[in-house]
Amino acid sequence: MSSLPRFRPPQLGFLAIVVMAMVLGFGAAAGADHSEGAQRMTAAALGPWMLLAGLHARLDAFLRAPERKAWLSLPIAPTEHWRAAQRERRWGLALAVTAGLAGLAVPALLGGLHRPLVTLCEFAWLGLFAALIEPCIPAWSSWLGRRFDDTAPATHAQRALGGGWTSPEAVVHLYAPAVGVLGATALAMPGQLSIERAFEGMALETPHWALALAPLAAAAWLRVRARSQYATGYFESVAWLDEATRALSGDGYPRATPRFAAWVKDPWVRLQLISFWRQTPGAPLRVLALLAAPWTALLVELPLGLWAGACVAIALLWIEPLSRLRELGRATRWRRFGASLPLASSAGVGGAGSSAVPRGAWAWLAAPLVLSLSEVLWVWRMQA
Amino acid sequence: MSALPLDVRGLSKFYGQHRVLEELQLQVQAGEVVALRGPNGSGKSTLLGCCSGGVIPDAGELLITGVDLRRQPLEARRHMRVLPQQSELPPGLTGRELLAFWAEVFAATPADRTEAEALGELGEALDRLASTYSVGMQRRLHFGAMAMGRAALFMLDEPFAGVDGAGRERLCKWLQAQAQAGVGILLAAHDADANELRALGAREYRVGSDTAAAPDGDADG
Repeated sequence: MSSLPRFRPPQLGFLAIVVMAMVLGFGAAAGADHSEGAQRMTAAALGPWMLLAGLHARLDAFLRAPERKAWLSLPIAPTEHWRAAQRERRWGLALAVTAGLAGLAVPALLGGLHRPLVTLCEFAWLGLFAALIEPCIPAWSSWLGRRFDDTAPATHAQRALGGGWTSPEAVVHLYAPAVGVLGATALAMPGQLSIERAFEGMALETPHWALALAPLAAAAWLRVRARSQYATGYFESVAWLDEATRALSGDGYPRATPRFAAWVKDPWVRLQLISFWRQTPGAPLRVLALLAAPWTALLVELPLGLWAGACVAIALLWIEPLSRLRELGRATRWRRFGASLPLASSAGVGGAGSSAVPRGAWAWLAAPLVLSLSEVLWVWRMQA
Repeated sequence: MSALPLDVRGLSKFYGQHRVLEELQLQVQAGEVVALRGPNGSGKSTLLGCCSGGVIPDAGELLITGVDLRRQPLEARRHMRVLPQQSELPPGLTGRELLAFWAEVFAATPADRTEAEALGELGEALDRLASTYSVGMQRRLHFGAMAMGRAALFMLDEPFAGVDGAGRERLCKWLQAQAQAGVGILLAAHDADANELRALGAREYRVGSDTAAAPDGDADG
């Protein structure tokens, strides 16, 4: 079999990648205001964040996507699932690395970076390690996301690291992404130092080559093992992850109705708002971060570029769930549901191309963004 | 290799502290129809989930035609066909494309595909997007998948739910034919399916008596 169909369009986290690229570029340029060392530090610190942007979406197809569970009972070799998921991940990572390079290239072209070629090469080197290590994240998750013997070290680790947040078999899913990104960053670091040395015109001795290439060999070795590790655990880890996800979703009793819902007169709008609020993890915190970010950034006196990037990144915390709401509005099930109700706001909801999410709901949900933008403009004027 | 299409030995499953299945033994002979019965939340769907690999049991062994489902997951799956309680079909694909997919997965012959199309009786709708099908049509499309290749065991979670009278009769006859051909059938059913179960000569297997539902929120299960 050459390919497995996708249940839903790939979620590559486009927006997250673009925004992080902007932050990377802004950050590097902001560092340039100070010194070359500060600039290099900023770029190095933001590099892993660039890799984190869209990571969840890139890895979703390996173990979490609905088709993995739906086809678990079919005799499809895990390697086929791996191949299907890899296509999406490769494309997403290529986009992230390219966006990162572009994000750095813009200030470089505008003369905002001290030695742009070094920074670009260092980021590209990190991208190479990400390409090797990233597939290991779902592989480790699959391999360790199952049940072992009671006396096995893996079992002890699962229990010790769980902290009661999830079932022991699903613990690995909490740590694997961070371990992967930090691992790629740590392994890339000696090579980045060698790159810097080379650009400074100093000769690269055997130890420098060894320090750069040994981590590369280690990463390549991990990558080679990844597919078989994924295949080993696939059939059990998908089931365990599904069970953990359902257990985490609670006992069926929803969170309390948000107080602001009482202010909304239209019942259809109110229903949508409550649904959105409950389906958005940490919704109150997101709103708080959105409203507080402009002032906090002002207090800690961030450079202007980094401050703007951070504000945009935080805005994403609210924009991302809004984009899911848009998809929901297009769902036929919702439109049919709404069209049959005698509500003024649902008029036309059932028609082709219409949305089940009324304008009133959009207005309510856009309010925090508008408020935050007003704050940004206010702070900007104060700084000017 | 054991001749038994399904051999469940000492199966236990807990959701947290809640015991759903404990030390359960169940055998399905070739050509036998076994109906899982029990109140809502008794563990029927959990048992079917364990047997089909979607739920990992805490203890016990599951053999599909003698092949251990956990040790040889791919080989075991080649011998079984599963009809889930709720159809989950990928969007953007027609019924015909999905049947072609299942045919490839189960190494079905052209004759199987013809039989599958006939069983589903979807006619021209096969060329429409499966996501636009009604519940009953999605169910019938899934029945088509059951006809692909040679299976030793069918596992069906409430197979008659959402199917009209004529569809029930046709499905019942087809299942009878499959059982006569030696396929073991395990299904979860309700009182409303009593006529169909009688027609199939199903042996009743009572599952649990707890009324607390599993955390999947499966009220029937």
